[in-house]
Amino acid sequence: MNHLSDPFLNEYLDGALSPQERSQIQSHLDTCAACRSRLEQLESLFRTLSALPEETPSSGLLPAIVSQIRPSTPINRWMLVLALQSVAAAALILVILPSLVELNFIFPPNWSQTDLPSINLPSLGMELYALPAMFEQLLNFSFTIPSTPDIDLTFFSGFQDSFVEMLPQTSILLLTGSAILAAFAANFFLLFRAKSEKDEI
Amino acid sequence: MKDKAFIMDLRKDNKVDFNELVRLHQTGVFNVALRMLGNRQDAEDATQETFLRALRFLHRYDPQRPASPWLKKIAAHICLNRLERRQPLLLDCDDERTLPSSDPLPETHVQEHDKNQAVRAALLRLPPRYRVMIELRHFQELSYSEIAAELDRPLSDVKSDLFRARQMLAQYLKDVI
Repeated sequence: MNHLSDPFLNEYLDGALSPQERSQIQSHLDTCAACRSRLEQLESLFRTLSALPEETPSSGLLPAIVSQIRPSTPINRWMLVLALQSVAAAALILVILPSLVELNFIFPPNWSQTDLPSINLPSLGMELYALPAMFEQLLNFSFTIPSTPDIDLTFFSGFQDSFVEMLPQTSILLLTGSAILAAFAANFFLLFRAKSEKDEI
Repeated sequence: MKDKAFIMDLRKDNKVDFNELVRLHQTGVFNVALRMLGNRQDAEDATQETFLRALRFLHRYDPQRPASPWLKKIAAHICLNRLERRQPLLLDCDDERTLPSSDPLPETHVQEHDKNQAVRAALLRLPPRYRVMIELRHFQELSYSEIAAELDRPLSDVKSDLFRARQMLAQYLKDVI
């Protein structure tokens, strides 16, 4: 008589055999005392493992785990703040800056080398349309003044007058820009700190 | 399902519910670690690591399922990694302390406590890859295919390792069972 193999008995007890295979094994076990004995030994091992009681962890485990969780600094909240401030800053630049250009607040007529297109506020499309002209003026401004050896005195005198007139507006612009940059820097710092705390966990 | 509510709250960064989740499942997770690592201090360290990792990978949890099996599987992985890092020492000093001698156990009546200690010690004598098989099959009641998926091993390896692990355990515990 062929006996059942040990791996086969293992799979039988683990319920990993097909109904047909199980039926064959049961038929064999009915007639084979040796295989029944081996199966009982294996079942005894299963029972011994199942009977292993659970032990209780120390009372300090829960506080120890919880203490490792830092106060909630959800990264998503910072992301949201950063995103909102970025949108606000972008909107500020898009709306205010071209408007100031259009109102000759930043670039008075005597600075202009090209005419700005007409802008109907608050049309964002028109403001976007005005941006290239604004940048073109900025480029003209920065390259013309320091690099021209033969300075156009007419232009220069106009610049001096305009600069004096422009001073408060320029200061406002610089302050606004600095505030926006500072806000970005602060947000990135907070974002980095929040992320670092998450990573440590 | 209570676990589902906890996990959903946790995803909203609710620290209070994390405490409750730990309170409910710390014993189960601790016992996985104790069976696999063999001493209480290591088991508590692994339990802490399990919950912190669970918190970190909360997005991978399926709220439709109970949390306990998920946490225990994380614990088994953590313990297996720790055991494999210990190689080739296999056993540290604490494990030695809990191991039975190689001499047969006394023929006299074995107290229940001693029997349990013997079973724990026998588990610790298994190589890590066999130990995790016994843990996942007998204590976490995973099927062959679930174990294969969990450990990323072929089904044939799972069957042969489990068979070999049981043979070794039967040998170590022949005077107990």
